[in-house]
Amino acid sequence: MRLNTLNLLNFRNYTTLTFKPGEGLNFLFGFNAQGKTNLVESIYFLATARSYRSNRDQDLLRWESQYFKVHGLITNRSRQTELEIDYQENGKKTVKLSGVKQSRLPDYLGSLSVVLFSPEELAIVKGSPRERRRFLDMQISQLSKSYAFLLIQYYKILSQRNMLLKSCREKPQNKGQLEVWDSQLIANGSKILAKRFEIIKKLAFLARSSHRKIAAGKENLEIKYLCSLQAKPDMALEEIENSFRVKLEELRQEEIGRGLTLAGPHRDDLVFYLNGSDVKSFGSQGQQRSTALSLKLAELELHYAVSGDYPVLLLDDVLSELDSLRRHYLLASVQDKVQTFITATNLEHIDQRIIADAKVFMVDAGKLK
Amino acid sequence: MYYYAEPLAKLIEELAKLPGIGPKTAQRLAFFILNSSPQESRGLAEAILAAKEKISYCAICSNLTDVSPCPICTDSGRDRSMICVVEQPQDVIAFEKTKEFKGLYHVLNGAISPMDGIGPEQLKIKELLGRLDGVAETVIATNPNIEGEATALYLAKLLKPLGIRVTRIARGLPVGGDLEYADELTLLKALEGRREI
Repeated sequence: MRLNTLNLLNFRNYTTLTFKPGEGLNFLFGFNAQGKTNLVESIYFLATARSYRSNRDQDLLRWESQYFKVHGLITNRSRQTELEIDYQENGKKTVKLSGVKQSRLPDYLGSLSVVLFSPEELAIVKGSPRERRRFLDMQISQLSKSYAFLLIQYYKILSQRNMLLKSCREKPQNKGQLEVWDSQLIANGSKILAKRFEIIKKLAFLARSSHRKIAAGKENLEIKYLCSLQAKPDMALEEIENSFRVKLEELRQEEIGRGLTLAGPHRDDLVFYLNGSDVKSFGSQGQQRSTALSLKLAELELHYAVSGDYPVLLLDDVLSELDSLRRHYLLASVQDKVQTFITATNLEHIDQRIIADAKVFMVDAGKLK
Repeated sequence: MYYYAEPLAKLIEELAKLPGIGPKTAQRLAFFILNSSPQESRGLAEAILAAKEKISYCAICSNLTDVSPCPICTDSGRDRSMICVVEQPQDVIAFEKTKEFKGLYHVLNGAISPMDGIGPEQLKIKELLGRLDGVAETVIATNPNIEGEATALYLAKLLKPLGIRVTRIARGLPVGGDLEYADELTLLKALEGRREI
């Protein structure tokens, strides 16, 4: 997947911009506050119709403008497609595929896939279990529409069940109704677990080989799924269901006491180990960073394995945080196969051989040189 | 600021409470009523009052009716060994349009939903249990969402021990449609519910 041309109109600090990036590495360098990240953000926005820096589209509008437009020509497995997102000040956003307005956002999404790595993504390693579940669920949702549906259903069942559990304290006769929510929770939750086990296996393998590359073979990355039930990755669906049922029975009294569902995919976590020790608790800053990076590279490879095409890689403000060896291995591992956009304040610390094959753009006050 | 005379403002306000009616539509309807003849507007007002006064729940099936028991419950031509359980009166109308279902109905008037404070005791389940004499099969036709499913499971748990056959309506592809137009999730459900031919 490749972005051939990007056109911006009134996006952040860009009045108008036409940007023709190269097929491999694209360095966007310049001083602070010139629009490097804004450019990367616009590519992310074109792909996902939302920003990773703000929840309000209004924030993307250039000062004193009434509308903005992000337009791109992409090549997706040798097919050319035109993507466009228009935003009017009143909050109306339209997405167009090859000039045709799409009324359903899901029909638009997926035309351009991006993998983003910015300093905030470190939360996958350092943040709460919720961040890790979100990372995992997003990976799987992109590969399977039915998974996204299962998740929505699961969370609906969960809130109904929690409400019922709370009511059981005052009305013990409500306990009889738990069974009907249990069976739905177990059916949906077990399918979610089975799918997670399947993807984790692939993701763990890909992340380990990416990590071996960027850490020059010195570190072994392992990913473990921490399950709130006694479910194991090699279990069949019925076995997962059984262990879910057993766990819920065990927890019955405690769940009623606390008014909460205490086991299930919504309580699970991922643990990352480097050479056997837990990265979140014992890893250095650098190790945490490269673990997050390896996960992102695994995401890239997973996408390739499923669709036969690499997404566009966005590296926002991360190069300076890696040591020179890791930086070199990272860039060398993507330069020939993945179109990559990299922001940096200067290029001095980057290997000249890599720069020679890359395209370099200087970002200066909303203009490219 | 003066927009409407007080009675008109009141009419618009009341109309805007109806489902699917926004302020603009409410205004349009109000002006239409104002411009209609006195007989017409009286007819509308009386129709609303009459519907409200005369329609009540059937003592047997809890469907909406003007005579209790309702015409379906008293129809001697219907199969009394089969009861179709639905959430809303509208669902009975949908089934009746098929002209194929010859059994009786039971309207629960809702589905189990702890979030909305609706438990089995708020539904017409006791009424259902009280009319099972001679019933061989209950068809559970609650909606295919999690609340409808929970209600179906709850009913199955109650009815099965009584030796009554409990069935659930199938879900999957609409009839007469093309596969390519089906959405992924419906197709997925249809695939899960496939059967041998």
